Amino acid sequence: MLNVYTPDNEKYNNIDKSKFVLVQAEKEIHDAKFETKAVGFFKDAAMRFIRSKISVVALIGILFILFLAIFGPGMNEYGYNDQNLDYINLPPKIPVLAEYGIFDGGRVLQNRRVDGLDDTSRYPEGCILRVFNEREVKGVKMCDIEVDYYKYAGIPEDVVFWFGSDYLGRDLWTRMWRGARVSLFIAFISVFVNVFIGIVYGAVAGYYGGKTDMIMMRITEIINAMPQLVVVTLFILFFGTGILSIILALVVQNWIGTARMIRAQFYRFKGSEYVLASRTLGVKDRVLIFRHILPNSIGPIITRAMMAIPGAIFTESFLAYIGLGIRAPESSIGVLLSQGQKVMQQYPNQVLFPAIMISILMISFNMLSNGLRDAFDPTQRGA
Amino acid sequence: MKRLTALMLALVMMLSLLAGCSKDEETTTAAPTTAASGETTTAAGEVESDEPYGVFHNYLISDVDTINPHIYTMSDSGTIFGLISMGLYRYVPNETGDGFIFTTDLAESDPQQMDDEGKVWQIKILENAKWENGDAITIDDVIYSWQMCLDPILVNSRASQMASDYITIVNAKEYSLQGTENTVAWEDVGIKKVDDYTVELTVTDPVTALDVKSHLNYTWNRLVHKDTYEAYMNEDRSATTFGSTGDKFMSCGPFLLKEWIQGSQFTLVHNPDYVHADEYSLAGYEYRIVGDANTALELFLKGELDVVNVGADSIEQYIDDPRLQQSPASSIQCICVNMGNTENNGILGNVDFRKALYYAIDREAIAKMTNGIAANWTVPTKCIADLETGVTFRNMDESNAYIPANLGYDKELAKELYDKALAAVGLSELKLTLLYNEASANNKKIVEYLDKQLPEVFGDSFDLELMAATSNVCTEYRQGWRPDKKGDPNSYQLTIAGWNTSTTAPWNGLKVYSGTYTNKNEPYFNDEYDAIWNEANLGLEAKLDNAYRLDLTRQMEKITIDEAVTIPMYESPGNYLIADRIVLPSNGYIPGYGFGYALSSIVE
Amino acid sequence: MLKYVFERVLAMLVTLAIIVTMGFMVIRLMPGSMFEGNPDMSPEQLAALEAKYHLDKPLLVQYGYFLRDAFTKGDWGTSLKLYPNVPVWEILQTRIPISMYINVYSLLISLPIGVILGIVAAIKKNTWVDYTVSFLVVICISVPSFVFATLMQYFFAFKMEAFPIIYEPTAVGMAKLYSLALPIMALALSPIARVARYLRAELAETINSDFMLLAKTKGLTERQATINHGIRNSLLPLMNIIVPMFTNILGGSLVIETIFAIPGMGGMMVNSINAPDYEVTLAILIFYSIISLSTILLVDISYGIIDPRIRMGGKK
Repeated sequence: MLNVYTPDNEKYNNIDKSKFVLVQAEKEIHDAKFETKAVGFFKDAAMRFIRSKISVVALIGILFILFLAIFGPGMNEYGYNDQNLDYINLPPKIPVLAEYGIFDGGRVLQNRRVDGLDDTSRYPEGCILRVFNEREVKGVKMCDIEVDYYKYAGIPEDVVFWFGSDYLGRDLWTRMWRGARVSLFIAFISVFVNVFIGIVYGAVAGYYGGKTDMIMMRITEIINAMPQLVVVTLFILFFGTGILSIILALVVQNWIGTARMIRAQFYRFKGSEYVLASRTLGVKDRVLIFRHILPNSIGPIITRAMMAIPGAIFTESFLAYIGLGIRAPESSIGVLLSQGQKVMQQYPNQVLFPAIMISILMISFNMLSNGLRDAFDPTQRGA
Repeated sequence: MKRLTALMLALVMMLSLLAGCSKDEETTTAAPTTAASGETTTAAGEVESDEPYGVFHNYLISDVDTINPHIYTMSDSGTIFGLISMGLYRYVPNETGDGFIFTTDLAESDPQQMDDEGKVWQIKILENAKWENGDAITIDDVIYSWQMCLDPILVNSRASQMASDYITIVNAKEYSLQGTENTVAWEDVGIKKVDDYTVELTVTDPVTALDVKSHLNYTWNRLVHKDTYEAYMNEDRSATTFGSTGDKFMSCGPFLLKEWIQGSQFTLVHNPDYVHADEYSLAGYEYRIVGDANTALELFLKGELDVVNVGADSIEQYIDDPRLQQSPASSIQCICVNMGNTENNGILGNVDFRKALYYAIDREAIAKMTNGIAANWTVPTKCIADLETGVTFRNMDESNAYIPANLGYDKELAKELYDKALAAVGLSELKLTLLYNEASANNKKIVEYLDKQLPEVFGDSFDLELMAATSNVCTEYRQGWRPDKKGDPNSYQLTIAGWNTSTTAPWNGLKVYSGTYTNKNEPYFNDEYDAIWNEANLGLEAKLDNAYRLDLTRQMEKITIDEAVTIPMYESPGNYLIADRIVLPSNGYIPGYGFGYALSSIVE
Repeated sequence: MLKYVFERVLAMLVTLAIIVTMGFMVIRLMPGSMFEGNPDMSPEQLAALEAKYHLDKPLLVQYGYFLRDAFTKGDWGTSLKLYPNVPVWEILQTRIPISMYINVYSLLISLPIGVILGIVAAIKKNTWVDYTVSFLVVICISVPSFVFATLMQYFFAFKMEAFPIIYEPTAVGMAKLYSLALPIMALALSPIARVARYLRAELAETINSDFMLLAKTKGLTERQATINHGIRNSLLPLMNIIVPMFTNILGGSLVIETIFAIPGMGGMMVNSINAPDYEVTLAILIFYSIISLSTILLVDISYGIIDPRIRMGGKK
């Protein structure tokens, strides 16, 4: 027979109560103390982020572009709206590089009459670098020539445009960084608003489910059904062109994607055991949503937000392409790209530089978002 | 995993299905494609002088809406319909190629005046004209076409122009606008059949034979095929889909419509049965629809197009090219001023302010950046003063006597007038909004330039704000002041617009500033001006005396400039590269007519 | 499940009705008159035309006419401006096939490539393979398709003459595919990048999850575990981006269509809005709504099939 203590077991009733002593009455009861300082979620993430070199490089890249977007326009003597009709559509000329034959202000001019090449009023002395592709058209001798365009256009020696100039003789370097500033502003604001609305909306719909979800999702479908162009045109009709209309146009439908994604994430996690456990412990809905379930989605949210930034810049450039861009004479990446596309074969530099810049920016954002995502991923904690 | 496999399998099946279809199609249709290429090689092989030869490859920047002449709205539709249909009269280049003349098409001779005043006219038509299917063309076809254009139930958009333009046909307007009420019978309209090949027109006011010919040359007065038109009529006869596709059409013009692939291309072939077929030496005429300017240029350079419009951005590479041809601008681009605007103490209604704007614009700079012609006048350079000699209105000394010097650019005068205007209305500073259609690359350049230039002339107290919009938003604002629209006098302040007006009648083009014109851009009303316009356009004296008419035109133009009714800026001529193999009827642009591609011939 | 499907279909119809109503109203708020193409038309003529098409009536009355014709005659209206008098569905029928064609092909190209790139990048995470893929992907996303399209046209078609410069409308079969190869490629770049990008992120997360650990402890190799368990679980969220991609892609790309002279839906859409041609715009709106609503429905239902743990519509 097993000796088990029960209140009515006589065997134990006779023991003197004073014999019982609390073993740890004098000591504090606690777990073993942490040797190191506690690491918070964000600090932990930051540590992991720094460990990834490529993310740091990406961050530096973004900071570099941001730096140029802020200070670039002030780096030469031109203002973003300084016009000079004598300096229209010049090719890029960068003094140091020019000595090596790149960005030296050269350009090929096609279809020139051979007999007109000696005319110094049209071709100032020394401007023709190369004559090639001689041929005959309609009985006229024609050729292509390569010229030093700065000399050809009669531009003083000390005037240079690093990235060339546009159809009003404005400096493209200045306009590009000014444009980067505007575009990034539009993109950040709109993406921030989109993600914010998307998270709240998606979280509520996904968490509560049932009828709430049904109705909320149908509302998004209705909003999504209106063609973007119609929505934008109406905004412009009511608010005029400008940053406000463009941001509104970018916000009005684009949050829906985020909302759907967050909603799906909620469906995925709300049935998890830990959520169930928290709920049985009486944790409030609000806390469950934002504290317990949402952090699981931080990875996809960051990825999405980073992707949304080029998306916003493209939508802006599409609007510029169909003529509803930012208010002139302000510059933006979208305006430069869509203008550049139209003259891509004539003046490739006008689209090349903005495209390179946006690519660098996006590569950096991409790498950064990879780094951030890994850093924030709770499953990698401590790894 | 199974589901994944199933998914993949489905994908593969779909792929193979698609691939399968395309393969089948390829085998069944391989023959026609090779046949087509064979056709061109044989055609290129032997060249005979009399036989129609070669295909002219042209392009349009957007698809045409319809080739029903009664409802079309795009000028390209009219051009294509013109090539595949007949009218009573047509215009062709004159002998020397520096102008054009009206000549007969289906008509046998000039209209015959049947009364003393010039209100009743008879026209006899040719008896040997045929439709594409071989049916003979009689006067019934002509009358049917006109009747349908005016039909009160169809309510065609071109009915009002058929009823009244150069000539006003008796009761035509009343007939077409009666709706279902049946108050005016077709018999009451001034269009009567005399015999199988003769029609009689009765008009409300005395007109000349030239008026009749000009009126009947319009696209909407050309012929439609009765059976086809009827076949595609709906039950309640309120609409017909005639001309909405290539099948629902019957040709009778210099070319036959062979195929219309919507959104992509038109294929026209020579019509040997056309009454003036010998004047056309092309075996075919094709239009591709190419929206992108660079794409079109590439196609031209590869020889796939015979003509291409060279925009301001690409012209630099072709200025020396012997293939380059120029055509005059269709319109003058102007800054429209809403003089009825009550904001800013109504400064836009102040003549001094408008003149200040007129003198503040450096048109030479604008011409330079748009590759256009600086214009400080309101009658475009394309306008012809004398049809016979082809002299343009602008080339006459008298027409330039009152035009301000230096292309109307005078900074000091502009500043002086600006200060005066500001003082007159009691303002110390001024901010105006300039609305523009950003789809136009030139407009965009100009507004950005003005945004910078105007404050430089007027000083810091002036600020110009730019507002871009699509063309229909622009129209909405530009016409918003009109009582029949929104009736808001402040619908806009400044905007850019241009009127494409008649080349042959400069006096007519100035209607856009008259008080009676229904589609006005600016609320300008001046009885004196209206009286001159009426005299120049409707007065019989003016019709008979061209010099007098031109003088009236000059009076009108002077008023528009003196009162700065609008602020003209530039005209942008068209630059075209035309392929080597094309021999144009004249060596270049024929004033008022065009290059005459359809009349060209091809030499390899 | 059946009840859920039934509910969803019902809800879809209600949504569609609301979309049509709102669309009708919103489209008629657009500026511009239907009959402004002809400035020389007399005002009486304009009034008569507007009366013929009931455009002079209040909005609700117009809507009443629209519903009456749609339900009693199955007549969804005729175009008034782009192709006058032609029923709207006939217009769409001429435009949809070509847009579908290039878009389906570009999806067919981009899905497998995108998936493979994504998987490779995720498995070789943080190696040079990953970086190269990411680099390519980002270039595809960050340079607008119209720049790529123009470049491709210039180099492949104009300079090298490997492809036709524009779409050849009379070509069929392989010749048609050949003449559309460049626009298909230009359109495919962005989806490839998106799919690869998204899949890499998802798969990287899945590979770290507990069940993958379990799979590996069971003795599966890294490769087997990834293929059998990882990819399957990552494909599910991919639906989230494929579906909107599919509807986007159906919309056609205005810019690419313009550059390659393709008569597709992108140009149609913009033209109908700019014209304005109310009836055509509305028909396009309805068409897209039906497509997008049914794809959303399909995805939601298939969610439950692919991953039974997730039943959409479940309460908290």
